[in-house]
Amino acid sequence: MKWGQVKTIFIFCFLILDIYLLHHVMTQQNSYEFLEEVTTEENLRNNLNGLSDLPEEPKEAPMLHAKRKEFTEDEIEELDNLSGQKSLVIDNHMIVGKLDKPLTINVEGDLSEIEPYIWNYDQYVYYDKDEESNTLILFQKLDDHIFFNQSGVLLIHLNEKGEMTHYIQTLLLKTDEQPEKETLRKPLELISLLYDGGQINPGDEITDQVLFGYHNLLPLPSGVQVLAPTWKIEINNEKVFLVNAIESHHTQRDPETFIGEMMEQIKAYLTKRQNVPIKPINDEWEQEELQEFMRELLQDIDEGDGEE
Amino acid sequence: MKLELFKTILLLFLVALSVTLTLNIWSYQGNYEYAEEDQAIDAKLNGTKQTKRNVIKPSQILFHEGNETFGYKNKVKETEFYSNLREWSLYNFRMMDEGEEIPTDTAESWVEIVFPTAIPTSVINELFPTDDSLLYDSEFKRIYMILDGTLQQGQVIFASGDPTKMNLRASVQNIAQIQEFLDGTQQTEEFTEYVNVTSLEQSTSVYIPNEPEIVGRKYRYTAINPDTSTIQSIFFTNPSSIVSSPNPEGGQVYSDSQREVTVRGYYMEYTNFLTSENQNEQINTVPNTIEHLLNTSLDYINTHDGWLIDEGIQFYLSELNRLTNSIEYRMVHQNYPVFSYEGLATMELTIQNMTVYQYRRPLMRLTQSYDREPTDLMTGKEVLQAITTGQTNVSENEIQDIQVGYRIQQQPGGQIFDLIPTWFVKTYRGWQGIYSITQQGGE
Repeated sequence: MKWGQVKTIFIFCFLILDIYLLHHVMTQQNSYEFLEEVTTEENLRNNLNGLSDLPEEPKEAPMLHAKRKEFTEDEIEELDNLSGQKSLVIDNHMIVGKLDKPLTINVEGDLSEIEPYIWNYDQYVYYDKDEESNTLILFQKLDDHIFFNQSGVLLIHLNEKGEMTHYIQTLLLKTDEQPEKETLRKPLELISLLYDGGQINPGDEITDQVLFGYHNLLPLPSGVQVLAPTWKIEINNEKVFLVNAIESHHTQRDPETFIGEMMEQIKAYLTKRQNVPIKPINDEWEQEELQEFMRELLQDIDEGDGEE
Repeated sequence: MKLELFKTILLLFLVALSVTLTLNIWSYQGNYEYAEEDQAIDAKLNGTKQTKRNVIKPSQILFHEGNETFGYKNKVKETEFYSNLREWSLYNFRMMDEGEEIPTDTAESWVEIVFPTAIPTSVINELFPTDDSLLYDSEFKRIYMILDGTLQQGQVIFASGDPTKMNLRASVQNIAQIQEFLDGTQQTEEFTEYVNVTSLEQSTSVYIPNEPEIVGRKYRYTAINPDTSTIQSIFFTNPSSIVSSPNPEGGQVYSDSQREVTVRGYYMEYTNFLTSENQNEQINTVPNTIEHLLNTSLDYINTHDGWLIDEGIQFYLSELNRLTNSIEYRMVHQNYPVFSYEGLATMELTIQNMTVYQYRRPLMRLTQSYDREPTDLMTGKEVLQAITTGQTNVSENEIQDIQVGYRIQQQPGGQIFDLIPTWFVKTYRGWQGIYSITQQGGE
């Protein structure tokens, strides 16, 4: 055999050997490099739906220090100029209003027809509708969403025809001093924790956009509330988890309980179980007129709808 | 000829490629093994390591002037005083004779430093600067320092409080300087009267502050997830053999048939059944001295960086039990002890045959703290009054100790731990909060 032929045979042999080795290197790298991820992230993606569109930002955020807004005399006068309604300010921070005539609104639309009736309406973002009490919930947006905070919410009560009859409004204000930024955990990590803890089951779906916002952490003695950076994660269109993006503690909230709590609070105010100042926005009202209006409101709350 | 040259070059290239690929595969396996070692190193809780000097701290510092007793109103000041005290050199140690009295009767003023539990005298040279080698086999629970100048020698007494254990006596250098420091602190700091609790079960006297300055605090916290391989490799040699099942009392149980970790909320309990099986064979071969308990437990917690401490939070030695071979480190906030009914404020170890048989600890770490609205706390005198007149949940004759500290409690919503100032009593059932039966006065 000639040296030339031997070379050709060698070339074939090494070609085959190299292809084999190349294949080996590739599979090896895949199996080792992604070993961790296969067990966590891939496993999660295989078992849950709706993980494709998770937000990446923000990666860091501070705790939020906020105070409930107390209305000044001037602002109460401003409130008096809002169209067709009778309203009260409870404890200087909560407006309860009743429209003179029920207002037709389009729940599917942008709700802009409400605007002339509500002070600083542009600060609120529609969140959900509670069918049980026929109420629309709008959360305040202080740069970011404020989830389920009794001091930063607008509740719109509808009658049977879907017309707006009453509303309750509170506002939060950022305080001057804000803490330092802290590193946040990603939504996927937190979903993984919920999954490991059995709160989410295989086959479940993350419905609705995972939202970044703030949720109550604790009240300070000074009246300042501390709110924690929070991811809102909705499962199967029914359960809503609010997960603390720094410490990963989670709570479950739903509109119905939240509205129930708000109503209990207002009842406590109106029946004077909790003694706080209640002022009519129109100062020409007589004491009797105010009492009558409060009775009316209480009756409306107890009946569960705004029909007269 | 050109074709032959091309074939030669191609062959050389293929040979070289096969060599590089082979080397690549080999070196990659090397990398993989290395990564596995890294994982083993990661069996830690991200806390810190501690030394005896850092965990052995007094529970009380009392200043006696004749018949009156005072202490700092704010207990944080005690740490300052104690760290100052640790700079003073002691020399000339000697054992006290059996009949020799602690000379507090003749002295005008003296300082009494009370430790939460009896501590082996062999660690004195780790706590204080001294040149003497201490070969005495004894214990101490209180240190008396006679500092009014009546004594030239032997001003410091390490008292065991146990008639079967010897007391030690030593001299201190620069007594004038110490006196100066004392005078200074007494002028600048606020003090409160300490009330002597006479009618207790114990032979040694217990003092409680009448008007302590104690402020509650609210803490954010992070939980340690027991499901991670990091945690499991602390307690198990082979994490892949762990079987996890729900705990009938709530929580999870992790077990590999020889060891078991039970988790309930933020509390965990590790048991190593291997040590208890061998117990009978070896019980006489290894004497479990108190010092050995101290060393083993410190080493054990240090190995996994288990001291989850922070600026306001520390863990100090609180109990050493020779009979049960157990040792306890208690959470301390602003130098006041923290108590929990869920086991969240202590790390407790039981040691058998040189190894850890049981280990109980919290699986959470308090991080950032916030102000809390002030609470109405009974004064020391009111507490004693309430106890002696039978208005509380504890009866007078079962009380072994009384302390003011914090009750740690999770807030509704689960995002915050609340440290609530409370009076606590120790009975044979352990520590419990005092509350008055007629009105809520314990907080």
